[in-house]
Formats: sequence, structure tokens, C-alpha cells
Amino acid sequence: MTRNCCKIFVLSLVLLSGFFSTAFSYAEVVIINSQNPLSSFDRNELRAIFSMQHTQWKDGSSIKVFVYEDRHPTHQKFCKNVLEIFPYQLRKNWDRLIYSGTGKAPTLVKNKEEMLRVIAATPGAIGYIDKRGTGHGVKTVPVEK
Amino acid sequence: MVSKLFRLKNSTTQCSKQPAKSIMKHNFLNSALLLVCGSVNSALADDTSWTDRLQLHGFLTQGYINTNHNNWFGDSEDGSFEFTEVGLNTRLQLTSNLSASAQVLSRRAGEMDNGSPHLDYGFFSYQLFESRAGELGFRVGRIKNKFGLYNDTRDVAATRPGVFMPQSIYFDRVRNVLLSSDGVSAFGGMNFDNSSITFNVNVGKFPTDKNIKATFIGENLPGSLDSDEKNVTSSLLYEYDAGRIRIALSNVNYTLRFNAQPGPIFSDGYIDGDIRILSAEYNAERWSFTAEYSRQPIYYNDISPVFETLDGEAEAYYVQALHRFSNRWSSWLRYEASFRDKDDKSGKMRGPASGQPPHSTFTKSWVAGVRWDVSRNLMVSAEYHRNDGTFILSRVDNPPSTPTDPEWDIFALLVSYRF
Repeated sequence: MTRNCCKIFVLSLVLLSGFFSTAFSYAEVVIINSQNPLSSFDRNELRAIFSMQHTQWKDGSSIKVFVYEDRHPTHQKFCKNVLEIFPYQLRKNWDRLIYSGTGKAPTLVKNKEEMLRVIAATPGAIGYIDKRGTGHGVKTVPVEK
Repeated sequence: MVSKLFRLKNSTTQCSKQPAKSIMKHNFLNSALLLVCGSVNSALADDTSWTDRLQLHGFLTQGYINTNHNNWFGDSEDGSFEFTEVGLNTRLQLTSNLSASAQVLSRRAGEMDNGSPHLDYGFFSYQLFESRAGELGFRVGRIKNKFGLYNDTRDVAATRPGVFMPQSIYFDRVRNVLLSSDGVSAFGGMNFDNSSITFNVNVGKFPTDKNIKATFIGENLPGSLDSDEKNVTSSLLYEYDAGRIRIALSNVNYTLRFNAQPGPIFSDGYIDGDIRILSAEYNAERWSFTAEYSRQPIYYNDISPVFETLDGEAEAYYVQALHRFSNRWSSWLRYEASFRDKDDKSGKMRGPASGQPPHSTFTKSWVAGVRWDVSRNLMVSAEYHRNDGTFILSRVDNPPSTPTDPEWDIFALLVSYRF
């Protein structure tokens, strides 16, 4: 009986932790240059940054946005899970800016290694990667809903 | 170039750190630079490199058009390749608030546009402030008009909601009344929790061309038709949930001035009108639904009593459903209609009154299309139009003296590269 209770307890713990890990954190995380003092973002702020509408950090320095290609699985998941918009909407926003002369598009990087390297090397940089565990000069920042 | 930039950077540091006395010692050029950087608070505050400040983008589009009757972008009854768009643009971030942008466009569009390169836009943009709450700024130069949901990038195939812009709203036969303004513009917006409102007002002169004269008064009328210098194009856009819902109100208020050649028949005068449009779009993951509705009052003044019978209000709209099958494939279905006179939709009165058949005063079309995004830069799309009426036809491609057929179809194929 007690053994059964124990089993149920452990099982529910496992299930619960699984639930919490999917509900409150995503496999994709936002990363910024480690010199950046920011410690969290809210989703709307991130949307404005990745849509290239919001272009300056609080101190007036420019935000440098790095992304993967539109069809890259991490980009697709980042858009859907973290920004909660569809990749084609970001593309529409960027195209509108670059072909009407009113803004710029983010800088493309090929893979995670390049992403980590440019974020570490660029003050004011922001990007994303597919899971935690970053490199030197880069920090992950939680996203509040 | 690099050394110049370096000097600019140095002087920025100086203007924030050195006392006024040492500033006086600089030569005139440096003083001017200092004035600029002094007036722009955070000018060059961060170490953004020259290559980060400069962007270069462009596009190259070639179309093939076949119609069973009438001319659409060239002699399309025999198959026309006279639809080519080539654009190259650059934008330079001068300071954190000031940028300069320009695009050169070559557009071949049947007899409407001969492909000679011209300045599509070229302006300075100054941002007064930008924060999480919103932004405010102004621009000076040749500025694309924000009008409806799609006007400001209408020549970039990848941004169009089809092979051609919906002709009911973004008519190509006289596109320069929508296209751009030589003048000044104010822009701004406010951000709310999960929505935003942005506005744009352009005040200036339309770049006039032969299509404007051909459409409004006829190509051969003795005299010239020019845009007023203070035409106003304004738009207000509400976006919910990062563009899931987009609702826009836009208006073009214009005056075109006719300078008659000396003679007994026509006198100086002007045409004034408005192009009002209400736009709505819903964007889901696989589907986008778009609808735009327009009313266009127009008044002819003093040119000739004949023209005053042309006063009236045009009406136009389209509804479109677009489906994304995958990242690469999408297709769409659209119904659109435009009427020269909303009170005479069949053209029974207005057609004969202007010496033209009734079908020249309206067009009702079904449009179906498909698009394949081959790669990030390359796309191919195809579209089929079944048209009733010839109101959208260009008078330059189809001179008023040649008969037109009211029932006509378009097949169009487009290949477009962009970077």
C-alpha cells in the first residue's frame, strides 16, 4: 500500500515536472550580449525588437538583431512559441521596411555557432538559440508573458 | 571614406567631452559636423560600424502576360513580356535618429511605363523620439505614400497580394496619384498592451506622367495637367496582436491643375478629388483574409463645361482569401469590382455621355493565383483573371479610338528575385 502510494507520488511528480517544463519554459531562448544589463523581456517588447520597430536600447545605443533563415526550424519555433507570431508576419514587416526605405532587416546567421559568436562579439546584439547552455560573452534572458 | 567616418567619430567624442573653447579651434567643416552631432543627442553614441549603417537591397521581376482580348501591359493578345520591374535601394543610418534612403526603379509596363530608371523614393528621415510607448518623426524628400495595406511596396512582387496589385484599389492605369509625394511627411505611432496605432501624413506633389493626363482628361487635350504642390495622403493603421488583425483608414486628397494652350475651346482649370479607403485584414497561420473598400469623389472645375458631366463618385472594392499550403506554396482567390460612378454601375448613362461604351465604366473580376517560393530570394507566381468590363484598362495601352472587348481574360506568369 505504502509502496503504491510512493509510486503514485513519484509518478505524479514526474508528470507535474513534465507539465511545468512544457508550460513555463520553451526549448528556444533569447540571448543577448553579456554586457547588456537587461535581465528580462516581456513578449510585446521582444515582438517590437524582432519586427525591427523598436531599434534602440534604453541607453540610446542601437539594437542589433540576428536571426536564422525564415525556414530554419529554430526560427519557426522561436516565432511561434516565444514571439507568438507567424514567421511570414515578421517577413512581411521586414520587407515593408527595407523596400520603402523606412527601416532595416535583421542580420542573417547560418547556425548556432555563428549566432553565439556574433552575439558575444557585438555589444547591443540580440538573438535566439534552440536550448540553454550558451557560451562565453552571451547570456540568456527569460521572457515574461 | 573610412578616414572621414573615423574623423566624424572622433569629433563626436570631442563634442561630448571637450570644453567649448577647443571646439572653436576646429575648421568650418568640423564645426558643422559638431552642430549636427550636438543637435542629435545620441549621435554615433555606440560603435556601430560603417557596414552596419549601410544597407543595400533590390529586386528583379519579369512577367509574361497573355490576354484573349484587349491590351494589358503591352500587346498581350500576342503574349507580352512588357512587364519588368528592377529596383535597387540603399539606406544609410547617419546618426541614431537620422537616416537617408533612396531607391531607383526601372519599370516597363506596356505603353504606360517605358522602363527608364527614375528615383522611386529618396528622403531623409528624422526620428524625434522612439520609446516603448511609441515613436514620432518626419521625412523630407520623395516619399512613398502609405495608402491601404500594400501601396508603399507595390513594385516589389514578393510583397504584393498577387501577381498584380488588386486593380480595383491600386489601379495601375494611373498609379502616380497613389505612388509617392515630393514634399514632407510626418509619421508616428503609439503602442498599447497587445496592439498599436500608427499614422502617416504626406504633403507634397505627385510626380505627374502621361498616364495621369490620359486618364483624367485624355492624352490629346491641348495643355498640361500637373499636380498641386500640397496634395495630402494620410493613413491610420490599427494592428492587434502583432498584425493578426490590421485595420486601416487612408485618404488621398488631390488637386490636378490644367494649363490650357491658348485657344477658344478649353480654359485653365483644375480637378479635385479624394480617394478614401477602408482596409481590413485577418492573418492566421494558414489563412489570410483581406478586404479593401474605396470611394472616390471627383470634381472638374472650369476646364470645359463638357468635363463637368464627369463629376461623380467612383466605388471599388475587393475581397481575397489566401491559403498557405506550406512554407513554399500559397494560393489565393479574389473577387474585385470597380465602378466609375457608384450611382450608375452599369454605365448606361455615363458611357454614352463620354462617347464610350457602357462597359468602359466598370470592371468586375474573379482572380485566382498560386505562388511558389523557390528559395529565400526567388519566387514564381501565376494568376488568372476573368474580367467583365474595361474600366481598369489603360487608355495609353488601349487608345480610346480602338474598340475594346467587355469580356476578357488575363493569364500572367511572374518570376521575381529579391535580396
